[in-house]
Amino acid sequence: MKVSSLLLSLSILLVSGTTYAGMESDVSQLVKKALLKPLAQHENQRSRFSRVAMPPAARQVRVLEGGPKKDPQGRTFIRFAVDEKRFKGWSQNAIVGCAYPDEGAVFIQRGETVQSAAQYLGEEGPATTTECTAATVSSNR
Amino acid sequence: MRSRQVGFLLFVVAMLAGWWVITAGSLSYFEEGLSHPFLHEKEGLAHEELYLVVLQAHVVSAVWSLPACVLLPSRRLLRAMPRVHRWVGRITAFVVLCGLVPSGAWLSFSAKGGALGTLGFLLSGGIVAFAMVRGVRAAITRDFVAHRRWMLHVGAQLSVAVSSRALLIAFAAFGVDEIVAYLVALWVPVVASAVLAEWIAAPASTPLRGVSCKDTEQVQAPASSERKDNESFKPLAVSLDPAR
Repeated sequence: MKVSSLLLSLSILLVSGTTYAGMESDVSQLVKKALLKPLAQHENQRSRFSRVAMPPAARQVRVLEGGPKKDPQGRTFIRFAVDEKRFKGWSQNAIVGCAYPDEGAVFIQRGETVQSAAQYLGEEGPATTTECTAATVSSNR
Repeated sequence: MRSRQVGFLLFVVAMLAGWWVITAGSLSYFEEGLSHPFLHEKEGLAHEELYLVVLQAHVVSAVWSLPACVLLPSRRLLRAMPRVHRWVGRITAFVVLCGLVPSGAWLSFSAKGGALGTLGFLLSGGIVAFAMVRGVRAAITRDFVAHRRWMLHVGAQLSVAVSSRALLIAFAAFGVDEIVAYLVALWVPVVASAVLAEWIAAPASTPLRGVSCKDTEQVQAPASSERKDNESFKPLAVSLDPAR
């Protein structure tokens, strides 16, 4: 009896761990697709003869601690940060936001406001309401 | 062609090429608005929309002022079209004093590099405003040697827009830290431009300092010992010749 309950708990743990790891991977892919690739394209088209900071050498997505959360509308989201590699090394939290893996949506935290990845890139995007509210995502920039 | 003329020609070509590239790149401030990466960098701005409006005003002012200040010292233009020189000069003075400098000063408080960045832009803007006011006053009192000297300072500071960006690209290629590069690429051109403008203007202005053009209208052929130094003064006297 003891052994079976132990095995059951262990398998539940393993499954939930695998699910969360899979979710992390999904978020990473989602952020790359919705934000980082278009952002890199924009940067490639932009003139370097400008006071705007040069594009970083590399970017990586990092899922922040705390795991999946629910917003006031009951939708699941995961907080993420984008780290940028510049001359001296990696600078953390260059971009902070949250991703909704079920809906394939990415939102960026800018100060007190949140905007969709599309809006961040200067395109038309859905208006934000309660997505990764300020209370749940804090910017370290 | 003298080496100084060749140098000036190269400078004008470089500035106009830089101006063209900057202008083309600056269209994105109007197309992208608040989603422009320059504004993304300034996260935490209290008045983001006002910042964008001021930035756009600064861009428009600079798009007019830089080529105007680079081309107005042209003796050829002055000889051929003195009236155009005067009117373009008046418009440019207005644009610089009422648009470029105030907007730049306001933007400088959000500049990269903290207080040193702010101070660098304020110094450059201060030189531009001071030199423009003195230059306009000199033109009004018909002291064209002093006018040329002060306007050289204005043009030199406006050229920082191009030289500074060129340095930023060079520093990025060598992997210099972003903030250090930004500050060096700001301060070195600002100081160097002021020194260079003074150095160029000094030989022309020293012998005739305090002499207004009212006096020099009768002194169209300066004393032989001063003739060489006063060469830059010639077209100014020519432009005042009623026969032209």
